[in-house]
Amino acid sequence: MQNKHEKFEKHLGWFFTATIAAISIGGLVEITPLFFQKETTTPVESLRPYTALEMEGRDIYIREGCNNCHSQMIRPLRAETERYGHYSVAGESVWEHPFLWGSKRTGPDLARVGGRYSDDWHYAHLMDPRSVVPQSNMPSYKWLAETPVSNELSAAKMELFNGLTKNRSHKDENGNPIPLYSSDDIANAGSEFKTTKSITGKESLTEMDALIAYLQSLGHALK
Amino acid sequence: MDYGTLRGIFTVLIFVLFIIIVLWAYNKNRKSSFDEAANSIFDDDNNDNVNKDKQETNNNV
Amino acid sequence: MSQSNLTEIDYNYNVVRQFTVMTVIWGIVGTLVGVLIAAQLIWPALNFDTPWLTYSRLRPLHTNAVIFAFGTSALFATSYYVVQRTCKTALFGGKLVAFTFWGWQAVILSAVVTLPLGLTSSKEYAELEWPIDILIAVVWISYAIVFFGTLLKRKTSHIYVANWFFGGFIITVAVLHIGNSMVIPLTLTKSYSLYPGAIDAMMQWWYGHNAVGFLLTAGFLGMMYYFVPKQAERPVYSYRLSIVHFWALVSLYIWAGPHHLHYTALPDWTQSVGMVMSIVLFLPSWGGMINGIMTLSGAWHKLRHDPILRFLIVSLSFYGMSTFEGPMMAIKSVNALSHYTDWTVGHVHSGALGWVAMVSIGAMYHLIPVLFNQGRMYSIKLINVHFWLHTTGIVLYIVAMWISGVMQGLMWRAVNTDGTLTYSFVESLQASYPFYFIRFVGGVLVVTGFLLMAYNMFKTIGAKDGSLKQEAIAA
Repeated sequence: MQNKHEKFEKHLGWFFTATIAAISIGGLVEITPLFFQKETTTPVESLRPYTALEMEGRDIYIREGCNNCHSQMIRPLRAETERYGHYSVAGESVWEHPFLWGSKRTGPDLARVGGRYSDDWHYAHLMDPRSVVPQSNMPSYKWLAETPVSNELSAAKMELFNGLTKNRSHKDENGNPIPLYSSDDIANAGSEFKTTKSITGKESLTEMDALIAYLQSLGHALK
Repeated sequence: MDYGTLRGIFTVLIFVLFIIIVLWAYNKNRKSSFDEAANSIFDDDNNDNVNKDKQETNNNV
Repeated sequence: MSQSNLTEIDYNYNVVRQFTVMTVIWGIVGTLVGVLIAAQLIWPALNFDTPWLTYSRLRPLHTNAVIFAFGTSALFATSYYVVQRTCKTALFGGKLVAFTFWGWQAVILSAVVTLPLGLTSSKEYAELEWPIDILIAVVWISYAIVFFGTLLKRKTSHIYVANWFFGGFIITVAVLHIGNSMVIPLTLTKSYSLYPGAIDAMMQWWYGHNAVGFLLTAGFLGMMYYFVPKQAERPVYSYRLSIVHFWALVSLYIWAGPHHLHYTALPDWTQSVGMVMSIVLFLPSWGGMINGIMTLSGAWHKLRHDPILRFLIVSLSFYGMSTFEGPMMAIKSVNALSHYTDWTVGHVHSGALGWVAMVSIGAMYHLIPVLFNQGRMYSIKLINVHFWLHTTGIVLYIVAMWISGVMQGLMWRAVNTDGTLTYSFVESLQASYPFYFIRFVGGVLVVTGFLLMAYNMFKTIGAKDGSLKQEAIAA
């Protein structure tokens, strides 16, 4: 009896090992090389890090789930570059943690929306999308204009991103990495929040300002 | 050895492995134990009066 | 019960009952949220200017509710049931078993609270923030211990093939979840993915596609390999095929992720490998489908009387259909048209509502009477009504999405003779509204079916022990 039982256990061990082997190979072959490929790990030359306000805006974009309806990934297809601009390259996403390419276009792509519309247009659109695009089915995001945005976590976010992008930042002429944010940047993170005027006419900056700043920053690395 | 050759060898290896699994599964000697396994789910029935006899799985597939 | 001498084993049905009831309840919740967001795509004012009622926050709630609350509860229930019955032994793990139930419900409840609040990692089907991710990992590892522990102490010599699929799915989902959830936390409720840009995208779809491949396919195939033969009262068509099918499926699925990233900034070689493997994947998928459907060969007449069997067999037809559609959509030139459109949404729902939900519903209707000491469900007629509501709902849904999806793809790429674009984006949206309405109607039918199921279930549970007798079926 004891013997027989041992044999069963062995079977299960084999099952475990074979399954792990079968599922590991594909992942290892497809994913590991990406960590060493220049294309996926080197930023395009003109890429610049987000300002504190844009970074807050990006986190609001994530919180509201904008990526559920808007992609940020222009494919190299003629009609697509015609509509949205230069196709997206991996070098533009090197500092993107997480990636926000999206998978569904219930609304249009936003990879190069920066500079396409005025701040006022965005403000009107986010308050009431149908006031500027009558057929739109986008919900209104009125509450963004009511909620103040703070720079409380900006310094911590900058340091965190310096850490995340350590091996993938720009290099100076001697080949030394230049961190995304200098110690000065971090020390003064978001100090401009106090001096910038809110588009909503409120005393202090709101989440609306942050989100618009982020949207306006998108896609300038390539035109 | 470059990446392409490695991939080639790897593909052959996987293919051989697949053939081995197929040969193992379709070996005639295994038929009876597989039939037993396939019927095992009926062993514990406490309310069915069916399946008194072991039913065979398909012979050709 | 009757003369049986084998039923003296003290199976742990308590946890199976708990998961079974929750499967039905989460099925209602998940599809109800789905119907709400389908309505919001037609009438955007339905968010009432309330952050936590807004489409973009609720869509992840819908996907998480149907995949992890409904689908995974069904997998817990059936795998715990099947592993005990086929191993002729009670569940291993003592208190750990109850922990997997309460732990998993805690995961779901925290999703229900945090996702509408906007606490999200943004990664599809992995939106939950890191503390919940840790809880998921702990519950999942406990699940693995219970499941494999039970296999270890089995009283039978062979491990029945359904358990291979359950086992494979449990191991793989653990690996995927832990791999994709690697983040650097900023606060308790905010974190940033460890992986940069294109690599993060690859990690996400390695996870995302295999959540489909293992959780929503391998797991439910395990369910199929037990409940289809059981309900048909015939052994599986080919046991040999099921073994080859298993190994081919687990080793091929894992490669298919990059087809979610065709024509993106992911390096071309990765896309090409993903495309080839996705196409090959068609073979083992259909192997499983044929094996399931052919189990009924020689007993086709049973379909006429047994709506439970009909659920199971139609689920396999939808499985066959979506696993044909999937490889086709993974071809780059087809994907160029279909990607980003409603076609993808339709494809997902033919898999989720057609395959996953129907095989689960069939299994639940088989299980509920067994678990609650009855010979049959309270009303067979209601099962039949449910079947038709569900099927009609799916057909409306996927046909609407096929049309709107292909239409969107064509409108986005249409150019005039001078090379300018024919349509603005919003024109493609405007053209989609009628189909969004049809989709909404389809969704309402599906929810109605689930409500009937819940009624039927509670009536069965509430009936006096053994009072519902199996009817003799006219031959």
